[in-house]
Amino acid sequence: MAAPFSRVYRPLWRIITTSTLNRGVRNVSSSRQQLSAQNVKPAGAASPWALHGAVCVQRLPAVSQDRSPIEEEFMELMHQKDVSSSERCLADSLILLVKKHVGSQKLWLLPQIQWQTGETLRQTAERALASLPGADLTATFLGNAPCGFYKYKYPKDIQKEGSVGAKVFFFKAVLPSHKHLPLEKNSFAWVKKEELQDFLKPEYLKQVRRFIMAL
Amino acid sequence: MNTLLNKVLLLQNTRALVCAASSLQSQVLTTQMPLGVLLTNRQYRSMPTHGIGKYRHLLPKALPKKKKERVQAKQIKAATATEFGVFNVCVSGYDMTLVEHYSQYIHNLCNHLDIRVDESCALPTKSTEVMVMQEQGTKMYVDAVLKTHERVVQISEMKATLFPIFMEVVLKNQPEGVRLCLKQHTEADYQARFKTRPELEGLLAKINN
Repeated sequence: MAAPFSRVYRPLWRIITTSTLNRGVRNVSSSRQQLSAQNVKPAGAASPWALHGAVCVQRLPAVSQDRSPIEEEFMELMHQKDVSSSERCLADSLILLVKKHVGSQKLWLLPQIQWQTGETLRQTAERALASLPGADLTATFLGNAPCGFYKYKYPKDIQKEGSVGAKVFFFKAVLPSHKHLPLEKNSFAWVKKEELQDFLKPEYLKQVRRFIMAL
Repeated sequence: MNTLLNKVLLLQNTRALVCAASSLQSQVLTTQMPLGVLLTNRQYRSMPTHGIGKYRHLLPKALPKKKKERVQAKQIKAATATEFGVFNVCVSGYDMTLVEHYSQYIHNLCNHLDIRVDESCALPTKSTEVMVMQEQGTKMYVDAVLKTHERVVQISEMKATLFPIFMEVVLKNQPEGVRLCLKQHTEADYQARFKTRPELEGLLAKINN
């Protein structure tokens, strides 16, 4: 603690083992499966809302000593403005955003994917994370309960009898900060909570802001 | 003047005697006491100052002193569908101030969020000797001693919906150089805290053999 903070990219020594804990709580996921199975009525009276599972991947901050002025300048030069680098702003927690085609537009969203029958929503979120092209992110999911919810209606011309809109359930996952992840520039972004408003639509932002903690 | 005083005194005396007599009567009539016992000057219940000097009822109840009981092993609660069972948050590291402060932070966070903390204890410090080989020769000598400190916060009956939020806060504030580990609490973990008793084990082995 007395030595000055010399290298910025020192690998952090953090080991989190939650495997035994997840195994002990597996009964929660099965009960949720039953619940979701009950909520979806049998064919013929299906709900008009499509279910999506989304994942809010957070890169955790590095809690350490304050940097000297030279180190600050160096950090500024290297990675601050490059939004797709996961090494920027080590003092804050960053969230992963993906640019996706939604209907006719390209929007910045949290990675989401449609729910399929027979799987739990958390498995949907895990699939959403695994299906991101080019990034093999092994994030640890924190618990089986979703942290947020967003509901939107399809535009009038796409709305059919059986589908009115979609409901998205967000799950939280964490990434330890010592892994360097190369990602494509244009389709991925690591953003802080304050920068979210530059990327997300206002309605979506309002719901997402509720569960993102800027600690 | 003297006679007046005498009369007053006599009156007082008689009154006192009457009171005493009445109290005696009441005592005799109400409580079964042996007649030969010397009775104190007790007042009748209708007297306004009845029980004026009593204070024993105001003191806290002094429980009979019991011997120190043997520490019983607590029942480990199992997990239900909405709550976790008993799990341990183990914080370990080389720097004791960091480890201690972080474990205190977790404990205070649990208190603030109304999460039940069963126990918050320290496990024995483990020393690791770093040995260095000499430049010429095969002898190793001790270069440094690293001490690993460990603190455990035992949490029970935490809601599964609160858990992700709790974990996020704990992870985001984890300092460098501190290792965090979450484990289910088992009987073996509990027994590991006790010291072994070699004589007892020797005697047991002798009995069994």
